[in-house]
Amino acid sequence: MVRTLSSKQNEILSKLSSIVGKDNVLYEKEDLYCYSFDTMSHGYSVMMPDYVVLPSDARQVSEIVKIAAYYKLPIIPRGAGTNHVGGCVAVDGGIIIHFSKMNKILDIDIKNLTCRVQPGVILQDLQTAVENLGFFFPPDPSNLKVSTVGGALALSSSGPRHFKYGGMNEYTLDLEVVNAQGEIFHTGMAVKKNVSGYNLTNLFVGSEGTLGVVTEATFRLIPKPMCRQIMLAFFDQVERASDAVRAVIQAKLTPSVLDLIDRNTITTIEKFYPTGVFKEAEACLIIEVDGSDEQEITTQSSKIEKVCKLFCATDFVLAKNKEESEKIWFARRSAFAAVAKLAPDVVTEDAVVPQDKITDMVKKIKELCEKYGIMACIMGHAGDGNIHPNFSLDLRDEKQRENFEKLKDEFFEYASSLGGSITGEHGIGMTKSKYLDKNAPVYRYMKQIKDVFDPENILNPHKIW
Amino acid sequence: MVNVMKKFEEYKEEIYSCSRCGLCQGICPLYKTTGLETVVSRGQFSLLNGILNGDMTFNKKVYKNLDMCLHCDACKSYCPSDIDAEKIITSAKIECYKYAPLSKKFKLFLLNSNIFLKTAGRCVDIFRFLGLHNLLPVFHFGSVVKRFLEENVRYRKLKPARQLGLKVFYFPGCVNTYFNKSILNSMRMLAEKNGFELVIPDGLHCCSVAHLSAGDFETFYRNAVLNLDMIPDDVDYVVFDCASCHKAFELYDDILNSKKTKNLKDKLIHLNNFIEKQDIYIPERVKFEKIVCEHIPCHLKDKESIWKAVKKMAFIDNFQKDETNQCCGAAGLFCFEHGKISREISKSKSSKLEEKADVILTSCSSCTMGILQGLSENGKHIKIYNPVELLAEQYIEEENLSKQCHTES
Repeated sequence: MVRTLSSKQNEILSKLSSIVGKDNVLYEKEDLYCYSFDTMSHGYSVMMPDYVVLPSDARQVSEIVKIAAYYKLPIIPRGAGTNHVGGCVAVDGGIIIHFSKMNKILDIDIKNLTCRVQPGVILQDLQTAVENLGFFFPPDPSNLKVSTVGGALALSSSGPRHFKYGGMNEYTLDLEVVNAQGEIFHTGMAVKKNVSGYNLTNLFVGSEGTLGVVTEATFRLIPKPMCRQIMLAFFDQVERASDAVRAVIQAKLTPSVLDLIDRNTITTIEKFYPTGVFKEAEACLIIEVDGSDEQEITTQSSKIEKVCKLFCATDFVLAKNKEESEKIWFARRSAFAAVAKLAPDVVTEDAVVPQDKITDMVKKIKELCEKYGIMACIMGHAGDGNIHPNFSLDLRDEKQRENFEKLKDEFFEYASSLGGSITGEHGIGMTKSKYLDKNAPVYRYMKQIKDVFDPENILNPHKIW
Repeated sequence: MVNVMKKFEEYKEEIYSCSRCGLCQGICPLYKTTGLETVVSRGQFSLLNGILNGDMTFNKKVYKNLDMCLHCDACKSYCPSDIDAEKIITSAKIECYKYAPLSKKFKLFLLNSNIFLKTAGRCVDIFRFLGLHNLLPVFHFGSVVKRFLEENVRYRKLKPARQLGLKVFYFPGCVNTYFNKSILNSMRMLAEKNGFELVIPDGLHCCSVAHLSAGDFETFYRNAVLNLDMIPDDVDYVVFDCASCHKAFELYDDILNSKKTKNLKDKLIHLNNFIEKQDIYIPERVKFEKIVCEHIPCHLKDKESIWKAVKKMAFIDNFQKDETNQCCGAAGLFCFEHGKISREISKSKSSKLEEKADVILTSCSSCTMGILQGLSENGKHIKIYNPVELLAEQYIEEENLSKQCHTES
């Protein structure tokens, strides 16, 4: 089916083609349909852009944005499209800028411990490249095998290592950004310290493409930890696992990973990926320590073991060698895949509560699941109080969809009532916008900032706002 | 026509169950080369969902998008939901084959014409005899074709060393039958050396894996029936040197589910596994000292079979496994239809092989083309063998050595 274009649409198409070449502009329905989604589960709803462009440099991005500004068309930046909140779908049509061709690591500066990359670089590729040189770039969202630097910047992503190392915002020194008028500018400098005015770099990290389009990023690197040790602690109550997490922190230990998984997750992983790693328990803590030498690792591990046993761990397993470590990580990383097999849709939610409220939050999720007849496998970065329930359901079923909406409303309301946040690393996107109190002063200020950078609201509209 | 394969509509649940996690982007060679969401399984499932919901219908553009798939199956092993994308995409292409471009249908027609293949094969023989194939590199892609036509092994009568007493049906496929007799020669020498009967009837048809991948189910079905009819019931094994032909015969059972296919099911075996499992004579007095690297064809059922055959061929000193699991980019007709993209993929795969290989081993005619294409892009000249060719070459080498010793003494 050839899409019939109006003369204005033809004009836009020819302008876009003149910038990036006709092979890098998609406009036919059959192509656009493939860009009508991201990892957000939304049943059958389809949100198609008008055009998809694949630029290869900042100048092209700037020209594309100028066209969008002229025709008042939305601009939706897209990396790997692996976010859970509908961050890169085109709600009102517009131009999707797909960064898959801006995927070069431009420079790794080993003298100054920095690296400069294009937004389409895959996080794992960046990590491998710097680790091969003995350095470390810690942010580790679970889909880092495919997710891009640009997407991780948009959502200020992190993962299990956040507890010790922090997320994207802690490593970003400078961004090259195209604003809503097509102007290219830098938000900071490639130096480790910089307080010359407001911190625009941190403002752009996590802004979900609503303030500008990132075309290049400079990150700081740190030395790579030479040794790691992974261990598992099993508990017969979530509360005990949560107390053990608090005790580990209070003992001033700093594991690089401090994750929690519940009984449903354990059972589901062992059902679909039987490794025998996980034992029968209500909760399991996955803990990893890293450091510069074996001695440091052994000391930390034995202290953690003592703390876990003090809090009645029913079993404690320390990986004895590389194979055992890999087996545990394989099982841990299979969690999403296993849950995905339970039902046609899987929705991963994200909330953060104060660390001492984890047990309350887990109990609430279980209570809500029972109330609405929906199953959840709960995982979380317990050290940060970041909880990820993975809900298994069929969103094509109207009743389930309605119930799930109610469940989510109560889930986020409860997280907020505990003094928590409705997102720790997934972002707001379009799905969580309704949970923000936009009349609160903090969001009024944010809206004013948005208006300064994007007065015509063409940059990723319907996201956050 | 009885087709017991699942129809496109029957995959509705599987298509919907794609969680859109996007992990397939990390493994799809076409996504890595083109950067387009339209070529990766997640994007294609989205399109197919649109068809199943009635948002759009099958048309030329849908076929064109679905045709951007190497059928390499890489995404299946990576998919958290275990979705068999290759099967689903094939079933959709069967539904919309009528929208395939005429140029593609014409190529498939030629591939299915034994008269055309025979004539083309004769022309190649005459070209080769007159030395005209040396002029091929003048043309674009010509150097790849020239090297593709170069025969590694010439037939030579060998002294028998074993009496296996088996009756083996060998399916040589179009390339070995008409264009390059090296593997066929090696196979004959293997049979003679090891004392088994080789059945190779005239008039076998294309295995038609290319037809099935394109959605031309009718030809695939017809050729399945014709090929199966030519296999005598009393054979011990049906052997393939090409992974894709082997795959096609495995699929014959899926579509026919007949007494014949059931009877043959346990007899179908890839040549690598045949060498591994049978008491094949392995020359002991020779050494192959070059570095041998393998390329594992995507369609190879037992991914370790090249390694297993090599392990048995103790004369190979230095063997390097293929850790990349990466497609060669040729994918049957794909390299003729999307040359630029195919060459990019081949180039990337070949660069990894040429870093260390003196010789490359593979088990698929199309892969040989793919790797040659990549080597040619990178300006490298490394010989590509099927394991049986290497074995036959060493049979000859050993006999030469024996003769030499005999003469000297």
